[in-house]
Amino acid sequence: MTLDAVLDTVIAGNRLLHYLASMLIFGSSAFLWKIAAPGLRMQLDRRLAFSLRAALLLALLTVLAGLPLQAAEIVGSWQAALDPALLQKLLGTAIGQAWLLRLLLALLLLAVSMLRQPGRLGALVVSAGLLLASLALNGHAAMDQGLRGFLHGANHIVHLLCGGAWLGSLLPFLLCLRLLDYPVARNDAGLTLRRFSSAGHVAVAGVLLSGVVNTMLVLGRWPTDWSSPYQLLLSLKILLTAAMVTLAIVNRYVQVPRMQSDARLAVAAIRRCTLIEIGLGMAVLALVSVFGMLEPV
Amino acid sequence: MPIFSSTCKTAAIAALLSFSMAGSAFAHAHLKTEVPAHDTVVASAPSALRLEFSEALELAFSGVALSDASGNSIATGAAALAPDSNMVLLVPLSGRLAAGVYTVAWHALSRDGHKTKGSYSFTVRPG
Repeated sequence: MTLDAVLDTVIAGNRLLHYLASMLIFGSSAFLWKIAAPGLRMQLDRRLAFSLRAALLLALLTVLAGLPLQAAEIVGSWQAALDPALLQKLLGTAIGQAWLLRLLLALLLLAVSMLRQPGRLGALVVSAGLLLASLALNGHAAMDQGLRGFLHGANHIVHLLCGGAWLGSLLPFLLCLRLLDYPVARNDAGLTLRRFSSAGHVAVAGVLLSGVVNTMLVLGRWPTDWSSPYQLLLSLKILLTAAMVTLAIVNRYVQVPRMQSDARLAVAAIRRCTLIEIGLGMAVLALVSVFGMLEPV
Repeated sequence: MPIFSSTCKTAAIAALLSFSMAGSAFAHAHLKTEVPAHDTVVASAPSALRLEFSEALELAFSGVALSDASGNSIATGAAALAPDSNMVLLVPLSGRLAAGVYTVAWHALSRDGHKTKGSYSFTVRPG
């Protein structure tokens, strides 16, 4: 592999880890804050604590690695990643300014996570949301100027937040499914799952609509020309997303009604579908990490 | 679900807006036009190179290397952005170019963080 190819792979990997970490923080704390029944909140919070802490650390590390990696990519050498003069020069550009802001947001997120209840969850959601939204400062969402640029950024933020809310809440959703087995928690878990279902509709609709708008703004057409790597990978992303939506719909409109008659089997099926959905979601993020750097033609 | 329908309405308006604005857009800075233009013959030595890109540039990471037919590099002045457009790179030429073929190898970093590069040639006619 050439240096450029290695660098591109490392950068894509770093982006993937960052998406995973920040979406997990945003989605799962939003789930705890607004979806979980109050009686379950503490318990879910405890069970999620380790994943959340790992994700917080990963979010910060992946932001930190961002600027040195970009420096190496621009100059085309590994040494550039740690060249202070070059990094300083890069800090003076729009890319560097966006990175500084993202670093501050990642630190804010870490600080907020150390707060005590009761304001902690809300503050976590807001600061993780800001960190996710700040991704729109770079890349294809930042390619336009003026009003179009503003709308493009705003639409991309909707896409990131809805996607993060959807994907990130699947882990606490799985934990809630498990709580259905415990008689004490069953009512609260049921209420939580019903709330999740209503909010899920909004998040999924938001992902799909903002995705269409994004495609039109970046590409200006449907991605049907598969000789272009960008369009091929975007088509794959759409296919995987369609599969995720199908699984979510099957869960909601086939398995949930089945819970009345055949609870055990229905819950097992929902758990399986959700695990597959999480896998597909991670694949979608991997695709985005790659084609976000490709030329959108 | 009132919140759901209002979200849908907003999204539909956003979708309509974007369809009406959708055009070809490039997130990477491409060279659109140059002066002297590629593969042309100019009568007199130019005093500057002008490269117009499809996107706003980061000056600190954009520039050109000028070389003559035998590959010797030619010194140029410092590249700058045009006063009226951050998509235009101006490179002043201090010395007068002798007759011959010149190659301009350019590299650009767009403001959204993508890098591109390329090269083109032009000829200064003897006279």
